Amino acid sequence: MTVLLTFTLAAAVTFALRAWMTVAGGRLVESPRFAELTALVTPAVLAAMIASALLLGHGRASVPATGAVLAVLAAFWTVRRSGNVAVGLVVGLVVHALALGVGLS
Amino acid sequence: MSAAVAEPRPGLAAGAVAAPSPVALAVRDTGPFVVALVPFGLAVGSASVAAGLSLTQAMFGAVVLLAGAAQLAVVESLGRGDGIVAALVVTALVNLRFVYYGAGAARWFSGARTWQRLLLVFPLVDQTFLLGQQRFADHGDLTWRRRYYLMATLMLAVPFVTSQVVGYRLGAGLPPALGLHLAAPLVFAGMLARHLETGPARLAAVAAALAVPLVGGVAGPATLPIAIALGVAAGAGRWWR
Repeated sequence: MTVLLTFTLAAAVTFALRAWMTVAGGRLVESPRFAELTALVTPAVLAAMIASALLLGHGRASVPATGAVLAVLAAFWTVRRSGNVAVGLVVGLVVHALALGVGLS
Repeated sequence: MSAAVAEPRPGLAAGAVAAPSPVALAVRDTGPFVVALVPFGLAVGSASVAAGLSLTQAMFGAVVLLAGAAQLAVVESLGRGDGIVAALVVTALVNLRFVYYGAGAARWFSGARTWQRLLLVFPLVDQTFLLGQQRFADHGDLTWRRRYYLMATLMLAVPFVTSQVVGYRLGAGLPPALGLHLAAPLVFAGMLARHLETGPARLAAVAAALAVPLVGGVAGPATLPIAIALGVAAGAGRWWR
C-alpha cells in the first residue's frame, strides 16, 4: 500500500511540475536566476543518487565495492565520449562482470 | 536521401504541397530514442526487483509517472526505505526540468482548451520535448501537432513499459553477480556525464556526492535532499560570486 501511495503522490508531484506553466504562465521560467538554479539541480541530484548507491550501506557511510566503482566510472567515461546513455549502461555492466571475474569485490 | 520533389495530392490546389503525415514522421523521429530507451527500461525493471517491488507495483509506477529517471529514483528510495516524504522531494528535484518542458508545451498547444492542454502535458518527457522543439517550429497547425505528439508519446511509452516488464522478469531470474542491481547508478552516471558542461554544474555534482557519506550517518532519510541542497548551494555560490 505504501508503494502504491508513494507512486501516486510522486505522479501528482510530477504532473504538477508538467502543468505548472500551463496554469500559471511563463513569468517565473523567464527569470535568469531560476534558470541558473534549475540547471544545477540535475547534476546535484544525479551525483547524490550515485554516491548514495555506492557509498551508503544501511544508511551509513561504507567502503564501496571496487567493481561497482569501476563500472560507474566506465559508464560515465563512455557517455562522456559517446553521448549515449544506453551504451554507457552496457559498458558499465561488462566492466562490473570483468571486475568480478578477476576477483575484485 | 531522396531527391524527389513533393507532388501535390489530388484535391489540393495547384502549387500546394501536402504536409508530411504527423504519424509517419513521429514514428520515424522516435526510432533512435526507442533504441536508447529499451536498455533504460530493462534497468528500471531490474531495479524494481532489487527494491522488492511486485510486478504490479512496478507497472503501476511506470504508467502513472511516465518519467523514467524519477521512477528509478522512487524505486531506489523505496528500496532504501527512505519514506514517502524523501521520495517525493527527490521526485520533485529530479523532475524540476519539467517546468521548462511544460512552458514549451504551453506554447505548442496554446490554441487548445485548458483541460486539453493539461491532458497533453501529462506524458511530457525529455524525448517528446526535444522532438516538439525540433518539429513544431515548422508545423503550426494544432491538429498536426497533437497527432505528432500523441504518436511520439505512444511510440516511446509502449517499448519503455514493455522493456520494464522484460527487465523485471530477467532481473528476477538472474543472479546478482550479473550486476543488474547496478543498473540505476550506471544510468545515473551516464546522465550525469551529459550534465556537466559548466563549472558550477560540476561543483554542484561533486559537492552533492561528497555530502552523501558526510551527512549519511546523521541525516537518515533526509540525506539525499540535504546533499542535493548543499550541492546546488555550492554551485550557485560559484555562479553568483
